[in-house]
Order: sequence, then structure tokens, then C-alpha cells
Amino acid sequence: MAISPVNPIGLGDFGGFGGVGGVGSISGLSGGASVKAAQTPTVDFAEALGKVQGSIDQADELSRQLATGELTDIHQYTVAASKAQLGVQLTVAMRNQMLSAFQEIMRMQI
Amino acid sequence: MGMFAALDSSSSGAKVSRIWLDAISDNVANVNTIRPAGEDPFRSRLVIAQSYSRGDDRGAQVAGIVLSGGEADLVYDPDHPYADPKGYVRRPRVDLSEEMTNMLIAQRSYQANLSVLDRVRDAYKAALSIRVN
Repeated sequence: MAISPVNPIGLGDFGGFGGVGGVGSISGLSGGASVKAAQTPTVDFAEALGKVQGSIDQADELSRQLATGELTDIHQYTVAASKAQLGVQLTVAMRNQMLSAFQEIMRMQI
Repeated sequence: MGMFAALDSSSSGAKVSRIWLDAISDNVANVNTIRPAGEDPFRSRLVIAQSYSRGDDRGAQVAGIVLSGGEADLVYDPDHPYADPKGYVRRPRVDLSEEMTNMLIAQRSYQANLSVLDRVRDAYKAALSIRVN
């Protein structure tokens, strides 16, 4: 089986991160770049939440099939349940990080 | 799903092994299936596996199931209801020792796929437990 090699990540790959790194965009409060940086993580987070919900629904459906005897592969259910569990754990980890980042900013002295 | 590609690959491998085990159990169940001498014997099923690649998803799948070829033994059993006028019946085309060996391979293959799955899950969990602060 041919597995494509993993490309090394250069520093340049992080350039498109909402322009947070640019000092100029943070100093200008009405700048478009700073607004975009504030919106992007929440939009991505909502998308990720939808995907996690999808994997939970799939695990639910497979557990129903397992209970009614429609499922031929037992491991299909356990794999789907693992995916859902990992997805929820990842979501919670991301939420904690985002919340702590937000609180860090709120603690800032003006 | 790109994120858990390893889980999907292992799952597909486990599915192939499960189908192989199903075929072996059918073959072993029919190891004493006698047919009339003039008819085709019961033939063991062989599972053909092949690799697949759909975008990021890679794994194994069953390409098809073929019946074993070759001649089956004619045995002399004049009391059997299927016996022809000369007293012969057709034994099934199943090699029990071969099936038992394949069963070991199929079982270990299933377990190997599930082991990979377990390790991958542990790896993801370890990545989630990294502390960032």
C-alpha cells in the first residue's frame, strides 16, 4: 500500500493564521484583520461541533443496529463509539483552551 | 473522515478477516457433506482480499469469493442413500487441515487489526492529554 510521505511543516505554513502575528493589525482596533482573527476560531468550532454530533449520531445508530441484530461487524460499533468519544474529548479540550485564552484576555489591565 | 483514517483502515482489515472467518466456518461445517457421484461436490470458499484507496481512505476489502477447483474424492459407501449403482458417493472438496491453518491466520489477522486500532486510540488519547500552559 502506497502511503504518501508526510510533508515537513515550514514556519511559512503558519502565516495564514488570521493575521494574529502582525503587530500592526492588533494596534489598529478597527482593522479588518483583527476582526477576522476574532471570528475564525468560533466559526471553526461550530463546524467541529457539528462533525462531532454527526459521529455521535452514527455511534447511536450502530448501537441500535447492534441491539436489533442488524449489525454484522461488531467492531464497527466500537470503532464508531471510539471516534465519538475522541471527538468529544477533543472538543472539550479545545473549549477549555479557548475559554482560558478568553479569560486571560479579560484579566488584562486597561 | 481524514482525522481518524487509521481507525478506518484497521476497521476495513478487521472486516476482511471477519468475512474470511465466516467462509472458513462454512467450509468446516460442510466437511462431511456428501453428494451423489454424478453431481458437483461441495467446494470450499476462498476469500480474495484486495487493497483500496478512496481519497485519503485506504484499507483492505473483499474482491470476491471463489470456489476451490480440482477433483473431489469418490468413496465407496454402498449403504449411503446417494450411492450410485456401483456404490460410490462424492466427498466434499474441503481440506480440513488447510481450513484449520487458515482459521488460525484469519483469527490472528483479526486480532492484529484490533491491536493496531487500540494503539492508535491510545496515541490519540495521549495527544489529548498534553498540557498546554
